[in-house]
Amino acid sequence: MTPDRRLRLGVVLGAAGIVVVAVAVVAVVAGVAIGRGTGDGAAPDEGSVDVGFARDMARHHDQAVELAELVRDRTDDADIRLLAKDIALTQQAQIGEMRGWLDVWGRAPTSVGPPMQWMDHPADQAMPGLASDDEITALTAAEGVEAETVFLELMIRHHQGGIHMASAAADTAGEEFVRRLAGGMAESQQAEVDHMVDLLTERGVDYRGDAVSPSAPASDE
Amino acid sequence: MRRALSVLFVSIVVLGAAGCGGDDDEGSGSGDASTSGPTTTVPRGEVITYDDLSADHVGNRVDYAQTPPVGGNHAEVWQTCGFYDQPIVSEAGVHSLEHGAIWITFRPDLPADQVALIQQYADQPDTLASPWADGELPAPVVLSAWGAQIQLDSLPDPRADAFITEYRKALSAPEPNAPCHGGTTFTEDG
Repeated sequence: MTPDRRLRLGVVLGAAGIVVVAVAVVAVVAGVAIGRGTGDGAAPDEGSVDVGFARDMARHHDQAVELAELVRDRTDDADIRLLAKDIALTQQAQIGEMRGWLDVWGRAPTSVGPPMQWMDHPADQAMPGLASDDEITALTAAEGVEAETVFLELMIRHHQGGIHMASAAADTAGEEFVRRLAGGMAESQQAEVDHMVDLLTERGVDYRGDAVSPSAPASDE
Repeated sequence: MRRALSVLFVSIVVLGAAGCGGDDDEGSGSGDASTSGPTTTVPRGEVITYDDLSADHVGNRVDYAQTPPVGGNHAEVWQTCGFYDQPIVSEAGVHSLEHGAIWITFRPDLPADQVALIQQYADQPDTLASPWADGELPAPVVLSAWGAQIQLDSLPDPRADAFITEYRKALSAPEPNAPCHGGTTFTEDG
């Protein structure tokens, strides 16, 4: 092989290598796109379950953190304070996770429109399980065991509403990672509901008598 | 909460005694602020943005470059979101902007139906509203986010909704996923 032919062969082999790499890159990108769950690699639509769930659940979680922080300042009970810390830290982290999705998707973090449209709820209806302003005022004014029971009752209903929403997203969201987080929320919040019912029972309150439908509208939202 | 309130209150008292001559109240930084100058020159209905806002926690009153402020140094405690019928402490309001809130300021002589409508906006999550008392508000209604502001004649206005959609809890704020609950509900007039 003359030096000239060797050079030409090298160029051909180099070009072939570039083609192989390019094909591999396309395959990887396509694989990632398919793996996103929408099938076409596009960000979820403005009206999608994924976008609606991320926005609404971030708002829903925000109030759970508020309730948990309120009770932590109003009781010395170790069980309640640990539960409240767990709820606040877990849900605040999930807020960041969901807002991160919205940012990556190029969707606004919040909406001025009515909530729950991704679940086809009536536009004048609040998100399920939210505490009203009056209920937050009552928790704010309470202390000790009274604050604990008010908190437990509000948070059980809040979680029941959250489970209602998370279960729907776990079933219908387009993105696999949205379904996964939503499914985890529904599961862990149900476990916390069971725990909170026990804590109420320890305080002489039979929660089952006061069960509230998870889709009952809050009075002022 | 109680401690945060007292910190804020002490700050105000100290500053009242010391005047505004503090040596570290450098306002909201540079960026477009110097070129945009007094907010009276800003056109109504246009979103004006500001860059390079400082975000230190300070215990003194701050001489903000914009009226109302769009960012800058601020109090340790943030203002809990919601509607206020008295002016709030700007240094606390700016801390709420840092957390991604929208702060609606309005002239106190607005008609009752306008105030009621503003209150509806303030009932939305991560939104607060308060009157601006000193007569210097450059428009009847001003919406502020961290680094952005729009002056309006009245609500409702589709430009208000567009502003809120773009800036509330947005990454243009330094800490957009921090809460707007659990702060102070203190107002200037107590």
